[in-house]
Amino acid sequence: MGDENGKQGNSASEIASVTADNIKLIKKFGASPISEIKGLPDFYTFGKMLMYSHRDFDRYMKNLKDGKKCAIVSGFNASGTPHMGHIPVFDTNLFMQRKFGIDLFMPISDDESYVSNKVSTQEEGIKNSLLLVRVMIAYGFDTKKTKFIIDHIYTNIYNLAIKLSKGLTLSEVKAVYGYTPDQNIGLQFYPTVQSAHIIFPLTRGYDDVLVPIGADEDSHMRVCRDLAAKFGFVKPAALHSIFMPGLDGEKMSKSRNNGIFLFEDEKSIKKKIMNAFSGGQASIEEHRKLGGNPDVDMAYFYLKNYFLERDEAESLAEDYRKGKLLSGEMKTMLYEIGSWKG
Amino acid sequence: MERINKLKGDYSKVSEKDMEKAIMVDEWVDLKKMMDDYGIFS
Repeated sequence: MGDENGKQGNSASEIASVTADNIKLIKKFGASPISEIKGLPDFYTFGKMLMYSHRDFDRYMKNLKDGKKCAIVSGFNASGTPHMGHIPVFDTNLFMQRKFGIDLFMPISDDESYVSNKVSTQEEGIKNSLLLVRVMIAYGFDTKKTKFIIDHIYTNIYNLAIKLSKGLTLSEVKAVYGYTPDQNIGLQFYPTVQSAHIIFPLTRGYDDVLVPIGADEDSHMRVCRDLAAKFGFVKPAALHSIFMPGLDGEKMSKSRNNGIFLFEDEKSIKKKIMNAFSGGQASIEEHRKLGGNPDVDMAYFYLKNYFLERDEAESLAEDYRKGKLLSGEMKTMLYEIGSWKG
Repeated sequence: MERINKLKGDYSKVSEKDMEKAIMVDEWVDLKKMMDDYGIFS
């Protein structure tokens, strides 16, 4: 399906499978739907089901209510560039910190960036990490309640990683991560560093820890939870966000350049939005006659999930289906409502 | 969502002291020198 501006998309299948990873986690890997938890925090990422599934989030919330000392761990890769897909996790962390006064640990794995060749030098990894810290503080995280662990700068984390490494074999790493013997040993060791990031607060007097992550990252959590149990720690809880597709409806990635990056200039963002995959018809006449399909329209997807209340989104979808609203108008709305002009 | 809109402005307001407060360091690390060396605020 194209749109009246003549923009053609190649597939809308990704939108339909946005939560496929989450559903797979529930059906095959023992995660639970977030909708089963009563009394979820009143925040848009829960209300809109952007946080779709979990592991032990109910236990974590109970511990929080009982006055136990709870932390959140939310990591970042030093080669990463913050984009719209990260917003639900960032916002959830920020909400939890502000609402409940939770301490946040934010590991930045510049060591993994280096051993996996995502950065070319260790120095590049450190520099990227420091810039990311600046971005995250600017985002609003409280510096009194947020601790950044940059692996090249806080190498103490390796002491815990070495301890945990006795509980993880190369066969297990291979099975979960798919590493092959020709890949460097730093990469093969890294899963224990990642588990150390998550378990770290539990070694510093915290009673429970929560990790909000993308559904595709749950395999790391399964390794970490097994390790935690082996060493006598509580199994860290997890919240799984849904997978946010890029503006072309496919997996959001730097290489596809289909995401909206937080520091992108206005002109570039506008171009991406106006080229977003749409659920419109090939011409204005056809669109007016046949109507559009909001279920595969990326501008609508972003508006619904990030900016609009439920009734506003439903009304917009209805106008689109009836052909009252054109794809170009939907895109313009997304561009204008986002105030991308900075 | 207002966070996205404010981000560029807020970014310039983040200070070295904010960074030093929030980054965990080994005893041997001179974080201020490191930030200078990498031009984080230049």
